[in-house]
Amino acid sequence: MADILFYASLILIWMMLLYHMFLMQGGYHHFKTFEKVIPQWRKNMVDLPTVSVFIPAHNEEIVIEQTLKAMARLYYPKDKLEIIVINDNSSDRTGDIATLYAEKYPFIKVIETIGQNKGKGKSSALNDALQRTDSEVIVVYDADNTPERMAVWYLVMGLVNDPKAGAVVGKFRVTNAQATWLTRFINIETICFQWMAQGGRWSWFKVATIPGTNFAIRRSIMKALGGWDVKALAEDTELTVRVYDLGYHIRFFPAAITWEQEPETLTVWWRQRTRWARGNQYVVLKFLSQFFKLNRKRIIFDLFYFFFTYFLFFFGVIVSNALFITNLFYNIHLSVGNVALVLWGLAFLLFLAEVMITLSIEKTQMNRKNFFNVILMYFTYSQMWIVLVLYALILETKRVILQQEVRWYKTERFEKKRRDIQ
Amino acid sequence: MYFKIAALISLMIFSGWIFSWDTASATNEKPTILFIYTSERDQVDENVHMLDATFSAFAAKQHVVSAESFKSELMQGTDMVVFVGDYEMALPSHLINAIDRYEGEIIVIGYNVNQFKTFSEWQFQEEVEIGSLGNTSLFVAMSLIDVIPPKGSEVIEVGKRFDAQHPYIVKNGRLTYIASSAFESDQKYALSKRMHKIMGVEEPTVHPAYIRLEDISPVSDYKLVQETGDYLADRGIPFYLAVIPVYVNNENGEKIYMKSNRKLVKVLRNLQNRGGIIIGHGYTHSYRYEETGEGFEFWDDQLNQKITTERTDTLPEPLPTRESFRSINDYNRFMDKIDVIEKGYIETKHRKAIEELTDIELYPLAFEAPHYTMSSTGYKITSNYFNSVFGQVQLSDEDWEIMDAPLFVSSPAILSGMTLYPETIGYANPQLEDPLQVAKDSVKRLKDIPGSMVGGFYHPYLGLEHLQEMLDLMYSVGTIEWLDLREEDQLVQTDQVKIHQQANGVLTVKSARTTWKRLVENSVEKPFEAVLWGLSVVVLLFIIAFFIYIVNLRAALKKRLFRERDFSG
Repeated sequence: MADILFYASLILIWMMLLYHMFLMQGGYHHFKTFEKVIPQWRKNMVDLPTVSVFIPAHNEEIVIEQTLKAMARLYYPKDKLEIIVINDNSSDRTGDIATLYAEKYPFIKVIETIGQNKGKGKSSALNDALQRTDSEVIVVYDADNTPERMAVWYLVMGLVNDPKAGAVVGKFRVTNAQATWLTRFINIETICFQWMAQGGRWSWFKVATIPGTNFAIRRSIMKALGGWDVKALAEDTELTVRVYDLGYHIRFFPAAITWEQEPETLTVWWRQRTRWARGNQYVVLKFLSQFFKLNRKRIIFDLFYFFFTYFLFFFGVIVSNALFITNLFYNIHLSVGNVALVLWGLAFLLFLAEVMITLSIEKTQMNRKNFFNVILMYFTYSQMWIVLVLYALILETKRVILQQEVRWYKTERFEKKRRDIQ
Repeated sequence: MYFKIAALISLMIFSGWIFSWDTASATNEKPTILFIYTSERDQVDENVHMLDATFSAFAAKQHVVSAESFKSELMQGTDMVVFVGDYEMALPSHLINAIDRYEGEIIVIGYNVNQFKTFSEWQFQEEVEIGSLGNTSLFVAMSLIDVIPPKGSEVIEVGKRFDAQHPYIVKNGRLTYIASSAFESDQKYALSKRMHKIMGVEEPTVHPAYIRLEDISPVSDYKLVQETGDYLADRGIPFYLAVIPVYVNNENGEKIYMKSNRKLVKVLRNLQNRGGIIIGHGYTHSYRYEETGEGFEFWDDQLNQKITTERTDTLPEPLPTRESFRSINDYNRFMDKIDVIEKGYIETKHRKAIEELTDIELYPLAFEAPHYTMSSTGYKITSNYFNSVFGQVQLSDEDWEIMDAPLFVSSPAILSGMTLYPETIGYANPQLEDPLQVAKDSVKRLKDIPGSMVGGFYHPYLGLEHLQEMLDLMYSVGTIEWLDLREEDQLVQTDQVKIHQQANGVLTVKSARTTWKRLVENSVEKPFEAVLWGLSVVVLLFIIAFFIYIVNLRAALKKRLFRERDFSG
């Protein structure tokens, strides 16, 4: 019995690790190649589409100013660009600050959510703006984002040159990476996520996930999809699935770079990640139940990936940990020999190697300090995920059983500015 | 078959210890014996087996045949005829004629003797019940054919009924008569005691002896094995190590291989170099998830029948009796099928045991069946792999409990040419008040039997507690000479391995088992683990590739910094 459990968890865990190893290879390949098309694509950037940049903002007075500063610097023909700050039921000075910028820059506009879209969360705010604009391309940034000058231009470049791309997503960097231990870990984590999950999947399967910020999507698609799903906690994942189902792909184009803030305290991190985990669990359950109805099978793979991440992999990890602890106190007669130890060592090395590649890709990130951070991260930050996913699973189960309404938790901002746009 | 020389070991054994096999046979040429028997329905019973075994010890060659199958040509080249009338019947006339024409030595045991004209001068009367043989009171009374031998006969041994004496063994010139074919414990000792006289050879003054460290499995405590082994080696005793290469956990069927217990393997190799001789004691010493060392391996003890299936999860049907078949042919056809299964099973076990021991440089020179149990067909199969067997012999294909060992090194027909080194004194059993009580009783009796083997075993898990006492007991039999198989020709082989021990002490081991072959074998044995190792290699390759990428990325760092500046405007 213990043997069967052990092998089951071993298989589950290693399927996941192998998949990531495979993604890492793809991510590295994508890094080596994604820039090659730029000189050619640049030539096609003549008849540019009109762009609306949506910035949903709910009580963002701390960060909105620097966000708008960055927006003002964006490289894009200003006659074809509009920045829409969607002030969603803010009770602070968000609206005032945004209005100041709107007065100063003609292409920046502030709208207030109205009617049923008011105060319902990010999806509703975006839907509201969708109804009130008519540009060809929609770009979304979170209110704490400070995109680099070329970001929108590159996002649009992807759409212009790749007609099959329903959306183009860029990469993001962390503004407050050096603020706390937590942000150091998150910084490493996001870099890994982008090059493995985004870069790797794009390279192998032409699949990427809309990350909620720093992406461009065709209005025609948003229309066809009928806007954002207001019930989804992770509206981005949900949107991703539907874009693929419509027959388009989502291109990961890391030339478009934005900077964003990450939670500096554990409480904030915990709430934000719980929302993500619950959101993704919601998506998995929503679409797995309509498994055969999905038109584009490619995305099924991705759903399966989430299913693996949030259900099977965690089952494996928890069982394996339980066996390990039980084995300390009671001989459960595991028959597997040294190979299990070797695999454990390899798993750790693999983790190190993968993280170090992605850090090396991000040039200055691969330093001695981060090397030790990575090791420390394995034993601390990575392990916190286990508890978090369990917690999210319990909440989500409770929600389904009690039929509770979803509440959008807005990530708390921290007053820290990017030096280059002050 | 191409063999690779895996090892060539020359052995210098114990200076000052000179081997001389001091049995009478060293001086006398041993005879070729024709051993003819009668038994009920032509089935060889334990009496015949044991008599066969005992006489074989005195023969250079012994041919065993039933009276029904006897052919006159068999008499050619025969130095001596032993006729065992274990069952009273009318003998075929050509047999009677052949015996009567025969001019060599004849030994007749039990019934049917009155049919031979050769014995016409002897008077055979009714059977008499006797209570003692020689000076030994019998546990169970036995009957003797009351014989009045011709004058001038030498009565070698008598049976007694109260005060009346009745000849048990009588010799008259070239004719010898033994008045009963019964061969249980008492008769074994009585007859064995007089065997040299019967055979007309000089009684040796020395007993061959051996001590075996029993049931050494992958879960044995290496320290205790080392302790007991070293103790014997330090005293210059060539000793035997009965090794079981695989331990099966009876709770979950999990297997532990000898090679995984490196410390024990090291100890065993060291002991092998110090005069220890490895005996293959089965492969797992278990069947149907019985615990290693407890379970039977070559006999289905739950149904008390030969191995009929390799499946160990369910109990098979008991073997049908001869009576449930319409004809003997149907029965034989059925049994042939069973024998094929048994053959496959035993062959696999032997092959694996020998090859896996050889892989870890432990070279078995002989075989000992777990619990000494194995069918006659099993022994036949075993003889393709080994020359020598230690222990006792199962004498019936119907009941494992019918087992015994003669008192001499012998080669009974049931072992298909293998030599039997009999275990005759048992072992130190800590559950008894005096752990060596049984051994003491045996030794007491063996003292009287010239040239008898003093063979016993000792469990290393007992530590040294009873070992010296056991040795003392063995020495107390008289003069003993430790049996050393490395002074004899031994061949142990499978398709891939050939272990050849020459009488001059040279051991040659040829093994066609390459690392690759063993790897494949392991993979088949533990497929999941093999997959995991495969996985490890793949992952390792990727990790190496990843580190190369990292180095590349670092090397191109400056170039990239400039490039990004270009693109980001």
